[in-house]
Amino acid sequence: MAALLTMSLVGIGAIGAPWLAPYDPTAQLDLLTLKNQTPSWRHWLGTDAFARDVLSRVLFGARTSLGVATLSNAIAMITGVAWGALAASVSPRWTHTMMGAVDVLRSIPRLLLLLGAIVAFGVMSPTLLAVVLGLTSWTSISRLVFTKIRELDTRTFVEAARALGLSRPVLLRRHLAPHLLAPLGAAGTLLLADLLAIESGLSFLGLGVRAPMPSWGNMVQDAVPFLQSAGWLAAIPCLLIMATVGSASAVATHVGARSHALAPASIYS
Amino acid sequence: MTAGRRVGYRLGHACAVIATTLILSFALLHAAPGDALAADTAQGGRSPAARAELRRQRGLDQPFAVQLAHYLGRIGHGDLGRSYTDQRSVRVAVMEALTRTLLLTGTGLLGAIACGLLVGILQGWRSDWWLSRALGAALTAVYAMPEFILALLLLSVLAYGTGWFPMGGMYDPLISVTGTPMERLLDTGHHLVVPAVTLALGWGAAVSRHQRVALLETVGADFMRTAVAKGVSPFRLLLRHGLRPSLPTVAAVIGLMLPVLAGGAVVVETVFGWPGMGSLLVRATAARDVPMVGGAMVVITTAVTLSSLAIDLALHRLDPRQREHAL
Repeated sequence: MAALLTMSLVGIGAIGAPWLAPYDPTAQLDLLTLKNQTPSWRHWLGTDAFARDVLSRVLFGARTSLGVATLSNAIAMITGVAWGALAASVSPRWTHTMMGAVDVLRSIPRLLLLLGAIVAFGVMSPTLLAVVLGLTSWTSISRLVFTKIRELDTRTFVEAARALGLSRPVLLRRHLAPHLLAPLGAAGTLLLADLLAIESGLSFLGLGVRAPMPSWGNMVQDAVPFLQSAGWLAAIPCLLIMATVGSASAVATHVGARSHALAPASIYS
Repeated sequence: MTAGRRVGYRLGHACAVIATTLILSFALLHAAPGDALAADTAQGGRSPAARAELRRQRGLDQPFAVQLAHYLGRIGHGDLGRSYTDQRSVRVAVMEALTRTLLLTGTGLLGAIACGLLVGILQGWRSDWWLSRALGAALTAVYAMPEFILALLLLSVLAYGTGWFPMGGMYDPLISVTGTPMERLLDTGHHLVVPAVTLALGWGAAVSRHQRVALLETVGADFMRTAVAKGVSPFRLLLRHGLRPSLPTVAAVIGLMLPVLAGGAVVVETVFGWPGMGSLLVRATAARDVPMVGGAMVVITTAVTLSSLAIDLALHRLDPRQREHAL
């Protein structure tokens, strides 16, 4: 429950950032007097080294970080489900080729693929970053879908549906998809947490979302030189990242546990 | 699948991975803006005809496939090209960084195995003891933390807060010049502590989770009850009967950490200014140093693939069940 609450609060903050934020997140308000100020009534979370309002940056940063994570998650899910379902439905030779390709892709460290893409594209917009993240993260989803469909294919109800003359697409949509929803929900939420962590890590290294656009990761990066003198500047985005990643994986664990309890396996066969 | 076919499949898989990486890294060179000439500082002021001649000499006017073949031939001879930024040989730079990274990640991995196994065994064996619960909770918290946050936390506590450890780098600028070899060794060890602890905690959390689950599964098994009935001492019970079945799982988890071992813990190295593969990759990526990133890609993936192949074959030996019928 607490995890869901955290996630929805962060979501509201991200969506409502333009209305909720008291200042422009990139405006340098007063370079002389407002540098690294502690929290006050005028600036609830203080100001950073460039005299920008931290609360506004946190809200807009949520927008960037969550936006990139959600978009890349959607891309990874769609690609993964499509690839896995297709591989489970074509002739055996193609199945071997398709899943072999997935195994090969999975064996190349993902970070190397990401860095390669960053080198090839140069400075990336958040949208492009999300696309690249999505296209390097779908393999685990496709493995899951493939194994699940293969397992379901041996069940009697699938056999019965096939005997009735249902075409493969209809079978997939009507009879197999409902069984995939719960495990996919769990895996998807886990992947979301993973992508959030990766995006913030990349932005922290200065390779993801670039200044002046705020993201939680590059806010931490900006704060590192002031770790001793203004530690809260790093602490605020760090706590937010941990809370969001933590609650996303908590939700995933919960969904996963529930999906075991509700698994259609206990109803059929 | 028989054992022989399984080994064959793994070999084919390893070859496919390395081949894919080679092609990707070549495509990277090819697709990046400008070609090998654009980076060559010696070409300034040349006439178009001279440039065309230089292109011909370097084989840049050849078809893609021919260039790919040349590229593979060069790599086969151990030539990974030169860096765009400082003209250093990529092979020399990568090898230098790789040894430093292996020092850091190897230490971290040993620490992770030690602390992960210890906590995991404690949790699986005496799950209701307060100490194992407290340790478990602490490691779960670490597990949920993105690496750079853990690194910053340890940096601010152990280096900034107490001043016990240096804030970054691999050696002290003064000692590295004036110190005796022994002093230099101690100095590097001193710099190694905090980054290695960061890695050990992060990975140790993962190892302990899997060790705990694997041991919990074994504790309830029939053969354990038989062993107790037989009068086996608790210590021997744990060591000979309890731990053996969980070995393959844990070995597999450790195998999953190999990419980081060679690829450098990018985040940790950056935070602590450790001059290894991770720092090299980040710097090269930020500077769009294509040959450096491509070369590092090839070296790391090859190392990772070969060692995970070795681990897989070792697992095969560790688990008698897999020897008969695998996959």
